[in-house]
Amino acid sequence: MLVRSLSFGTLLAAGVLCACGGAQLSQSRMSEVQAAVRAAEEVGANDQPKAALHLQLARDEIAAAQRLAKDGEEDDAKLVLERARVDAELALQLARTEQEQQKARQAWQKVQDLKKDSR
Amino acid sequence: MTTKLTRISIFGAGIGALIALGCGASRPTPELVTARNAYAQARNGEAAQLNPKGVHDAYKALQAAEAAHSDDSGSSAEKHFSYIATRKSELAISQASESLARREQTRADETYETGLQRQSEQASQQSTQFAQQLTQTQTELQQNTQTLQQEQRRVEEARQQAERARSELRQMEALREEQGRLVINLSGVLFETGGDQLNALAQNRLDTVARALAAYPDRSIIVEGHTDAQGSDESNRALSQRRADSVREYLESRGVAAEQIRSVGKGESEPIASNDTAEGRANNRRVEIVVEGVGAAIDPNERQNTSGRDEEQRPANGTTAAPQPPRNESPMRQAPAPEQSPPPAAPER
Repeated sequence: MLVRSLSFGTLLAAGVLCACGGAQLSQSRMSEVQAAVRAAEEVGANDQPKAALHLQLARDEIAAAQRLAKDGEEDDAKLVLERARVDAELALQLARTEQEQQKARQAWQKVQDLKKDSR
Repeated sequence: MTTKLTRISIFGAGIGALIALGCGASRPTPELVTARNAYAQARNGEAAQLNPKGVHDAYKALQAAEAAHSDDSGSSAEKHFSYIATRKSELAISQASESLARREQTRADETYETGLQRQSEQASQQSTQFAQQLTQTQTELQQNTQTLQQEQRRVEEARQQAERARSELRQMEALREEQGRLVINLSGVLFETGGDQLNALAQNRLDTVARALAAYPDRSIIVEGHTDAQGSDESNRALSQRRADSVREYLESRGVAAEQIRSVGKGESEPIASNDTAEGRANNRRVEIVVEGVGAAIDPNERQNTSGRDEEQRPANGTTAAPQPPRNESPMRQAPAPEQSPPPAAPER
């Protein structure tokens, strides 16, 4: 099992990543991750290849975590959910970055058009 | 208790040692290798400066993965934490790219604004230049229009002046038009008896003639002197020549161009009346000013003097014609008024 292979030290080091004090899969944590997925979708992560990949990973991991929790594998579920969260965050960030880059490209295009007009 | 920095140093050394050893038992999983590479990319790229917090988070995540590797190499924990660490590094890099994109947008917007302002200034300058050019052109146009109007007024005044003079002339002198020529007949006392100096009255009349001649600046003018039949042909011709010269010189002094006018003495050769009577002789003693090339279109008013009068008043040289009674059609067709004739008792020359 995944949890048994983790030593206390490792868990301490990993403590900054997730507050896995209890064995119960926190519903609020699930909600947080699902919210992150929705946020990424709203920003248009589905339309960008790299962001869409991580979004799909996040969705798959959420489903896996739910299955694990249902089967009583709470700790494993938490870890899988943690992966879902980072994937959702990355999907969101990739989508935002692409948006900003698109805006920057458009802004420079405006400059080019202005130069053309003034000739 | 070790400080964070010491832990990092130890960890870094630990990682390095493990990698160097390449020990089969501590061979990192592919996931860990990926995580290490991802972190190296984040640390060595723009993210290090633009997103130090993100890079630090990625570092901490990698620490956890390395710890899991140390504890239990190849374990699921190692793979799990490596997965997280890789994502953290990718997150840090993407966040830095977003910052960079925002900066670029700002830079582009500033460049655009500067360019727009410059364009606006250039357009404004051009507009000012065009406005100045337009004003200048309008001023020139105005000046040219004024000059043209002045010239037109001048021409009109000259035309009116000449018309007034001609009208004055018609009232004062006998005019006739014959064969495309205008003939001004100046009879009466113009000179001292037997002499060729113009008297004051004659000069006055010739002033009017000169003003009228201004209407014909490009026509030839001939001043013809005529006498009656008293005295010899030779002396009459000489006298008539001198008198014609006097009239020409006076007209030249009044603005008629010298190239335009000449004088000829006809003597007694072209009488217009009988030399047997005092009145006839007075009529024959005259000066005629002939303007060549004056057609009917020039002065329609003068058409009242038709060429029919020629045959009656200008008989062939040497012959005399009976004096004609005054006609009633137009005062211009009559001989000059009696008061202009010399007294009958005075010698006639």
